[in-house]
Amino acid sequence: MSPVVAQDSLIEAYRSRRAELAGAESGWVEELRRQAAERFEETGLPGPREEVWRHTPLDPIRRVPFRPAANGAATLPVDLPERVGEAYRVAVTGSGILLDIPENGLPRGLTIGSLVESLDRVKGRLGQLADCESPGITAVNTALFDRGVLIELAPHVTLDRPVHVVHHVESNGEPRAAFPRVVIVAGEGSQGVIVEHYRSGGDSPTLSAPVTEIFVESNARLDHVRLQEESERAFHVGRVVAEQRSASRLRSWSLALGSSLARVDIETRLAGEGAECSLEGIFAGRNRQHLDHYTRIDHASPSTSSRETYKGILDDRARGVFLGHILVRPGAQKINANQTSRSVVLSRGARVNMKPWLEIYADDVRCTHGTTVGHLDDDALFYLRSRGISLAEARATLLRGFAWEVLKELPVDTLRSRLDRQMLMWLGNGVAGRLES
Amino acid sequence: MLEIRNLHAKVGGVEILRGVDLTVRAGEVHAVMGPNGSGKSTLAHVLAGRPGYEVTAGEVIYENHNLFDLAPEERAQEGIFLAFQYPVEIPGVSNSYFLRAGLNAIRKERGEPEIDAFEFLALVREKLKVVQMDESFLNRSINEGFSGGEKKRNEILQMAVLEPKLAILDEADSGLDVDALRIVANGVNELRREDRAIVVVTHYQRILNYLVPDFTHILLNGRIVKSGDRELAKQVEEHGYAWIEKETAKTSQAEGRTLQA
Ligand SMILES: Nc1ncnc2c1ncn2[C@@H]1O[C@H](COP(=O)(O)OP(=O)(O)OP(=O)(O)O)[C@@H](O)[C@H]1O
Ligand SMILES: [Mg+2]
Repeated sequence: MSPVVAQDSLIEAYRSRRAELAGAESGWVEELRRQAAERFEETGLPGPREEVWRHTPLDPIRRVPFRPAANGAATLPVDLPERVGEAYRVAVTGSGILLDIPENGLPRGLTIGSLVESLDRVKGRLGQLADCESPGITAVNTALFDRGVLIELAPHVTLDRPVHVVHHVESNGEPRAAFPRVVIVAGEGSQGVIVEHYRSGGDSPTLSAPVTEIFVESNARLDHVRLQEESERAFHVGRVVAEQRSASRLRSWSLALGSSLARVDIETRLAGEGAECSLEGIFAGRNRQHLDHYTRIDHASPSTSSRETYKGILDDRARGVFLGHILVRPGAQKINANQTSRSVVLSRGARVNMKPWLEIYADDVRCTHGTTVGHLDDDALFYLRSRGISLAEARATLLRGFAWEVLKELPVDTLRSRLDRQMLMWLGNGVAGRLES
Repeated sequence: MLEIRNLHAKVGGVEILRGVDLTVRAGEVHAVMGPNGSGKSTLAHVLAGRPGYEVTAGEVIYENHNLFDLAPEERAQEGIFLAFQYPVEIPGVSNSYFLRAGLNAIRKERGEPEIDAFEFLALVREKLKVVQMDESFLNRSINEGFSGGEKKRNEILQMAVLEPKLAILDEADSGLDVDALRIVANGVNELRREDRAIVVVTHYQRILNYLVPDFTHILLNGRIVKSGDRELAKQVEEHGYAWIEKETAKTSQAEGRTLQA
């Protein structure tokens, strides 16, 4: 039997706190949590018998007696590497949210609120996309979420700068788990960029198990960037679920760089005609990192299109997993779906497992997919070296180029150039200083 | 400047170079011709240091260095440049980054300071003119989506920026239309100087109309079997290699007899 320490500890936490959990006084939230807790008690953390979890055993998490993170001190985490350009900055803490915004406040049409204090506003939305049925962490998140943010773009609003949400979990002395919950509503015809940034600190194991629900109304254009840079003591199991109305566009980036064991699910349902999405991601692991992505694109309406590019970089004994699920429902005709996944494996001990999973029930469908796993291209390395560039620099340059194909359209300049530099330095051979620009 | 003595090299276990001898002095232009598969690119690659070739005998002295003691990047830093027969496409890495990184590596070796972005742009603009390339090529990924001719010009652009002492051009002329051929040849001519040398590997003597060689060599079955001047290239173009093959066969038979005697 696999250990159930984490599960027991978290169910116990739910039982003892349930009366104090946010929304306990409003019937629907309490009911939602109760059902989720029941579900979690039944199923626990997902196991290898579930197809989409086959390559990512959660035993290292199961063994740890996680307790929900204490209500954090109400300060913005100070050790952030940078502000993401000029952004509306929000820190999500256990005791609410902290805003770092210009003196004249938020622009008209943008609402940023603490989710646990805005539960009335998200009735009919919360839990609507992220169901507790599918195996994963949604059930435990729904039972225990104690922090989070609601971001609403009013119809036809165009944001002048990105919203940068910082999730920071810290644990010292004992293992702590955070269950952030995020609801994003991009109103009809609105446009904006939202960055969710996950970080962790402290001397003890942390678990982040966030769930984000995104409603993209018709004609809206939303960019969602998910940057996971947690410490090597962190576990991260997150989920993003979107629903897109007609002629809307969602572009998603998932950048998994940190944590010892990370799994992210990115799912979108193209629920209105003409909706389109692009899902891109990078997972870059070294040492013994295990980084898993599961994506699911549900073509539920005709004339919808999707584009997907995921790239893995694996060194040392790291492990990468990508499963790209594309579902085309019966009657959803005139569908375009393109998926590419590519990985570079830099050492003998590194492994990657990438697979498309196509379920197509309509006939007017153009679907392409391709998966490649390889090493750095020897011809390209020689070409660079033949111009005087050292082997170390050549390797760094090729890796950077590999990642750039995903980063190049990232809609936040400062973040894009910071990550670009980081990829150049990723091999850690100290060449970056000279190579920048 | 370059002295190749009895060079033997294997690729994939097969001996391709079987005793190449060639001496190139500063200021000279050498043409190397030979039928497909005779080992021309192999020779060029061995000189540039491409991994995967096994040198089984012989030596190459370049400017007082034993060439095989130097890594490919060190050879470039010492002034060797190979224009590739098949330039490599590298997605996600811009052409200008590539040029500047190479130039700075070479400058560093020479003890010169790094070139800053501003100076570099001024320099590269000049060089772009030489090969008549548009500035937009600088921001594109290296060779990605370039036409055959654009790739060749891009090689010459790199050469013009890096200013090598010894340039080895592996079929810089193949696949070029007449105008492009002239542009490429002029680009190479601009580099010609008393202290530099150029080795042109080619199938056609037409590039030699613009880039007149001091010597022509015929590489056949991994050896230089005949050397001559500009006229030899014309003869080859007119009559092919068969007559040289025959000639060689005779001499080796004769050699055989002498050995037996
Ligand atoms: N990796 C390899 N393994 C086995 N044989 C190889 C390899 N690379 C090259 N060769 C062989 O070596 C021989 C010489 O090739 P090379 O490319 O040097 O010829 P070349 O003279 O440049 O020809 P071309 O005029 O067609 O460019 C050819 O027969 C080729 O097939
Ligand atoms: Mg060749």
